[in-house]
Amino acid sequence: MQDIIKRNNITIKGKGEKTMLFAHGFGCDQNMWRFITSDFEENYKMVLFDYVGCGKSDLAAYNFERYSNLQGYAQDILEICSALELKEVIFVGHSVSSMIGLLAAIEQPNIFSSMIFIGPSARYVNDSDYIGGFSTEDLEGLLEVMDNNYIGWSNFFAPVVMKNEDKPELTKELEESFCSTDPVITRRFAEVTFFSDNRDDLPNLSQPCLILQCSEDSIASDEVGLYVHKQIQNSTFKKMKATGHCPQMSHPQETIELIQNFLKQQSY
Amino acid sequence: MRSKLGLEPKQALGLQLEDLLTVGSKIFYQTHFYPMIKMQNTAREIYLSFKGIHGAIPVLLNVEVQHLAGEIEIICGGMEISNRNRYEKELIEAKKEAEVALNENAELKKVKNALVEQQQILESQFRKLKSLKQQQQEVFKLIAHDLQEPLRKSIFFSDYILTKIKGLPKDAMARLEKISGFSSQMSDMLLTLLRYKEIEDVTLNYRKIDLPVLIKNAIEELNIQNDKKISVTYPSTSPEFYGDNRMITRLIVELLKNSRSDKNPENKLLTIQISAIETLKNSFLEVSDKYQYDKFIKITYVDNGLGFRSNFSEIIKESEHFNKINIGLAYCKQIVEKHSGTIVATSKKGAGVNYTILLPILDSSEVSKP
Repeated sequence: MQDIIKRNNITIKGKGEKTMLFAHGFGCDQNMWRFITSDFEENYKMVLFDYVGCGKSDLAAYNFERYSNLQGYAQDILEICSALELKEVIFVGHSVSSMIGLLAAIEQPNIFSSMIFIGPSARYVNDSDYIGGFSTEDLEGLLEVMDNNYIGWSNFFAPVVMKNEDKPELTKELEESFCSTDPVITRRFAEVTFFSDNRDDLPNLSQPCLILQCSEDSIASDEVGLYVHKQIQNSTFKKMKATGHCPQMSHPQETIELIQNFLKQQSY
Repeated sequence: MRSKLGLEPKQALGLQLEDLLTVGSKIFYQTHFYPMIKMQNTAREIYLSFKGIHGAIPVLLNVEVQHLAGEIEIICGGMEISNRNRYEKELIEAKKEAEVALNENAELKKVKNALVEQQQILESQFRKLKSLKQQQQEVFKLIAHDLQEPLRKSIFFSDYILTKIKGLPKDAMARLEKISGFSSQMSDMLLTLLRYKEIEDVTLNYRKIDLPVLIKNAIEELNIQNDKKISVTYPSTSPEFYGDNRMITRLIVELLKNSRSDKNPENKLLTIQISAIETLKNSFLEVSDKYQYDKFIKITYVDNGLGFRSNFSEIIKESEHFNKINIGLAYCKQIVEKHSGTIVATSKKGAGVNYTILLPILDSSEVSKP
């Protein structure tokens, strides 16, 4: 249990009994929840974490094969639930974490009581009869931008296996930098995220599910969110006034209210 | 800059920074840039690519957000780095190549270390095995020669006393006969044990087997063909199969010996029935979920003896249990398994035993392989 807590940099707060598990999206870490968590502190026990390879997780635990599919990230969630013996979990996932949570809830439905997806997309790349919003070239463009941004601290560009043990000053620099992780892992997470396809998994979710759809979301458009809503039987679709892709940061109050309204309707 | 982006001053008003970016940069903006500014109010040396009318324009941005008495001031400075970016792109490419090479090298090192480790384990296991094998050979040498010798002597002296010395009291003679009997039994067991050991190293000599002839030979070896108290029935013809003639004969001999020593005194006649049929069986005996049906010969051996005192199937499963009967059975099991077959036995106390032996029917082409 201690291993998992350290590995995923787990934070537990709140005074309530019911558990809310917050899963961050690609590009950030558990800090992204900081504007909304205080409102749930009174009534919930909140579990926050960083996926292996993100934030302040244990980078040494990163396994290329395991995390070459969203299933690997779903295992992180299941292992956290098992280590903390979590039950009737209210899962809150942002962006790609929606699909990661979906996979976890399909594998072990008994752990989760309800699911909240913020800006979900089951597939980012356009397909013959599906608009995901991006072409392969667009996503290659993202990888290029990432490469160019990591050039600053990537004079080393050390592969994960090297673990930077001989360069403590770099590790320190990484730790101090917000939302930063190993660039190789982050790049890989980008590939795994944006080339994932979970359309066939959607109908297998049985829990009640809230889909929060931002306005003018350039990453997960209305069509993409509605597709997820249509495929998940027991889902509620809420179009937000919030614009962008990170309403929990840009419009925390609206996000909190929508989540609280949804939770009030759940009978338990 | 504005002209490069193809924007009139009026058009530029009201646009979000995000709207000016290429799609890839837009994603980076949403997933990294925005959270970063939101969290730390500052972002430095961020590379973003703008949609220009003549292609993408790489720009390096610094952003500072200041909260002043209810107002938010965003200071943003950018610098086009097209030339520098070309150079950096080359650097990135070179770096990627180096990274791949480094990664492969690291993988190779890991594999090499694992290999060396495995070799060391293998070496120590091999050494252990070797010394174990030597010890075993010593033990079996002891059984074969050193233990046989005193037995041979005690049989010899018992017989000597019985034949040469006259006027021995009757009960003394009876006891001497018992000593002689026990000693021969023990000598027999030791012999089986020795054979059991030897079969490990034996290479089977596959030949076409004529089961009726083989059974007849086994009966003659035990010299029970004329025994009025034992009746062995077996088919006059049987499906052809390949096996080691000497080994299969030993198998039948051992089974017959067991039947003889475990006969039921209530029965006047010990009957043994042997039959054989051809059958299809899954060749994957140990692996589950794997199927390949092959031809087997199924030999059934039934007697009307005492049956086994304990759970016989257990004994035959765990050939490590060594006692009088079990050595013979363990030996049988080993012969069958050496032929890639199986032997199971069921037994009811007082109602005899029933062995089912399955041996693969190989064709001549499979047998000719070394």
